[in-house]
Order: sequence, then structure tokens, then C-alpha cells
Amino acid sequence: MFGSCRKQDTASKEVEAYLSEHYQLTVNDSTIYCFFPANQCKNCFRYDAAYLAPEISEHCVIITGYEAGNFKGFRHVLHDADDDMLRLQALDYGNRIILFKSGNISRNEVVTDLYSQLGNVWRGM
Amino acid sequence: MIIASTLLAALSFSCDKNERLRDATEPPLIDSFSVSGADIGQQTNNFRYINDSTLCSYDLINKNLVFFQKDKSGDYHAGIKKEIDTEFWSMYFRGDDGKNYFVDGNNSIAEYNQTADSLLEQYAIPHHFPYLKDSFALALSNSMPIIKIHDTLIAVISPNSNESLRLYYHEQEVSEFKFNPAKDTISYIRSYISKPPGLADYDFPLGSYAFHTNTVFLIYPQYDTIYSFNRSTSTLRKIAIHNRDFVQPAAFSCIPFTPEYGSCATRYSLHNFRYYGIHYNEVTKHFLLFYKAPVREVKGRIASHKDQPLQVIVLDEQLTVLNYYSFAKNLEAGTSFFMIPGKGLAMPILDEHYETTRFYIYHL
Repeated sequence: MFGSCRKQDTASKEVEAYLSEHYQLTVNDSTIYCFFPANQCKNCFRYDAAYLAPEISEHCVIITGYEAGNFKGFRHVLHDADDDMLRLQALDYGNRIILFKSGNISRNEVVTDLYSQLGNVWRGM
Repeated sequence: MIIASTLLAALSFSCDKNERLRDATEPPLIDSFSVSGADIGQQTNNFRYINDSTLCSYDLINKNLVFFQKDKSGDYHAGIKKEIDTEFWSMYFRGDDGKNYFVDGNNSIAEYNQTADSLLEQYAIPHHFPYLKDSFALALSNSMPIIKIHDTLIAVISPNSNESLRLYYHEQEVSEFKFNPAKDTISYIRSYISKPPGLADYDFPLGSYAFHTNTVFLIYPQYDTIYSFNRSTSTLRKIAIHNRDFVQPAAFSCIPFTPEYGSCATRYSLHNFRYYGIHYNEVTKHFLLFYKAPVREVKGRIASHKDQPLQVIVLDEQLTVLNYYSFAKNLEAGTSFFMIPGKGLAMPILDEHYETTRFYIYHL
């Protein structure tokens, strides 16, 4: 009964609505959402899932304004060609790793070293 | 009497120039066409108009000069690709003679013929400059062109180090060089329009310039002023624009090569006024001044670049403001424009950047 009365903050609502409207995704607690808006040099980075344990990359959803080629080997790469994600206040216009817990953002950090950050996040899940 | 004075007041109000300029509308759209078959998204893919049936652009990643041919529907497709063997940080420009020039990371300039079939000359640029003790690089963007007229090269230079190729705030002045084909060298002639002292330590000072009647017209993103330098008389002028949308921007304090740089730079460009470029339209004899006004929030949501339309001021040859326009389409600001003689300015849309993009031709 009390479970249906969850309170959701605005930033969480925005991310949830964005994922639902654009990709028909429902947020859950066991997925790591990685956002990469295309507001940086597209030739300046490239991530390879081979540097991650398979179970981590499997639980990772990359949402990006760049081409999938920037994320080699990741199974779940969603392309936001219009960079609509830049409107999300949770991102603050930057690359972010976001986790949800009971419908609210429980972790939101700037991407500095993706591989080790994903490792840490995975260990804490 | 009262009616007559009211009518007079109403007439003078409707004829007031400032009032007429108040509403920015969409500029007249003439036509559109698509360009496909190459990686259009490369920032270095600056398009050049050769003739009505041919465009070209330099694909920096694959090191090809790509020629695009027009089909019956008016769209362009990548055709012949000429491999150009230059170093990574190569830049491309066309001279007034239609020849193709490539600048490599060692400041040597390769001159190719019009079809880029054969290398004609290889010029070395000397490294001794009054204000640069080490090496330097020619800096290029479409709004900050490298211009070659006869044997004279007009360009902006910046120090050449591992980091500074992207740190354009080191740019000092517009500089002139002279080609010496007999010696395969390029010599330094002079520099002019010093960077304003207030910009010395800031990024985003990509000065943009246009060239007309032997005069360089330069604008900085943060100043509501056009600097003009007449090469014949060596006269420098500063002309205030009085752009109605101008708001003095904050200092740019984002630190390059940090994880936060992208978000910081995006936030800055949304929240601050910025001029993106000055162009001279030889068809209409107008100067075009592109800019974006600050935006923070739209309908209770934080703003994205879609909420910040590209705007343009049209000025006559005396630099008097004629009109304001705002583009409804999400057009690329400052790069990859090109003029189609007799038609108008072709501008690419921002969101279609990979295999195909669409250009819109405006009469401005």
C-alpha cells in the first residue's frame, strides 16, 4: 500500500520520462545508465567493452548523441541524434553515470574514468 | 487637429527604424539540397563551392579531398576522392586561383592543382616570429579562413604544441605572408588587429574575419565591435554594432582537457552571448554577422542548444544595420557555410551530421 505512494524528485522524473518517451525503457534498479551528450569532440574518445567484465557491460545502457562506433562492444547503445538529453537537469550538460533506486536517482556522477567507475558502481549494486 | 497629430505620431512610430528591426523573422529560404556519401560530420569537412555541379571538402580522417557531384534532383553525392598525403593536423583551403592548399603540422604548405592530381609546390614557413619564440600553426575554421590572394596569404597563427592546437586563445593577430615559389618558402610580412587585452587569458575568442575591398573585417565573440584594417592605407577602425541582443558575456573559465570541460563549455555557450562569425555576401553586397543570444530556461526546463537559435544581422557596406533574422532550423553556427554565387548562402543543419546532411540556401 505504501509502495504505491513513492515520491519522485523532478530530476528523476525527467530522466524516467526521457527514457520512456525516447526508448520505451522503464527505469530499474539493476541497470547502469551512462549518458554521453554530443557536446564534445566526437573523435576524442572511444570506449571498449572489452575492458569491462561482461556482466558489467551487460547491465550498462549507453545513451549518447554520438555514433555507436564510439562505444565498441557495448550491447545496449541508444542513439540520441538530437541530443535531447541535454535538457535533463540531472546531467548538467555533462557525461554522467546514473543509478536508480525505487524510482529515484540514487547515484549521479560525472564520468572521469569510465571503466573504474563502472567497476565501483557494480560492486556497490 | 488632435486626429491629425495622432495620425502623424502613428505614422512616425510605424516608420521608426528601430521599431521595424524589432521583430526578427526567418530569412528568405531559396532552396535546399542534400550532400551524402562521406563522413560529413568531421569538423574539418569544410565545404568549398567549385561550380554549380561540383563541391569539395577535405576529409581529414581519411586524408581525402572529396569531390561531390550534383545529380538531376539537385542533391550532391561523393564521387572522386583524391588521397592527400599530409600529417594529421592538416588543414585545407582554396586559393583565389582555384588551387588546393594543405597545411601540415610542421607548417609546410603543399600546393596542388585545381583537381588535386599533382603536387605543384611544397612551401616551408619560417619559425621566427616577433611574438612566438617556438613553433606555430596556422589556425583555420570556416569563419576564420586562410585567404590566399595572388601571392599573399592572410591567416591567424597560434603556438604549436601538443596542447595548444586547440587552445585558440593564444592567437595573437591576423598575419600576412608572401609566397616565394623560387625559394619554396613563405615569408612573414606583417600582423595587424591585435587581440584585445581583455581576451588574453580566455578561451572562445575565435576571432572571425571577412575580406572585402582589400580590407580585413574582424569580430570577436564577446565584443559588440567590428575591427577593420585596410591593407592599402594600413588604417585600423573600430565600429560599434549596437546589436539590440548584445549582453556582455561572463569570462570563460572552463579548463580544457578536464572531464568537466564539455558540460562547462556547453553551459557557458548557452548562458552567454556570442558572435559566431562575419561573412561578406558578394551577391547582395551585405555583411552578415552571426550570433546566439543567451538562454537559460525554457518553459521551466533547462535550455539546450535547440532553444538557442542562430541569429544574423544584415549590414550594408558602411556597416549600418539593415535587418535582424532568426533561423527556425537548427543550423550549424560558424562552420561549413559556403556561398553559392548568384544564389545565396548554403548552411548545413546541425542534427544530420553523419552520412548525409542537408544544406539550406538563404538570401541574405
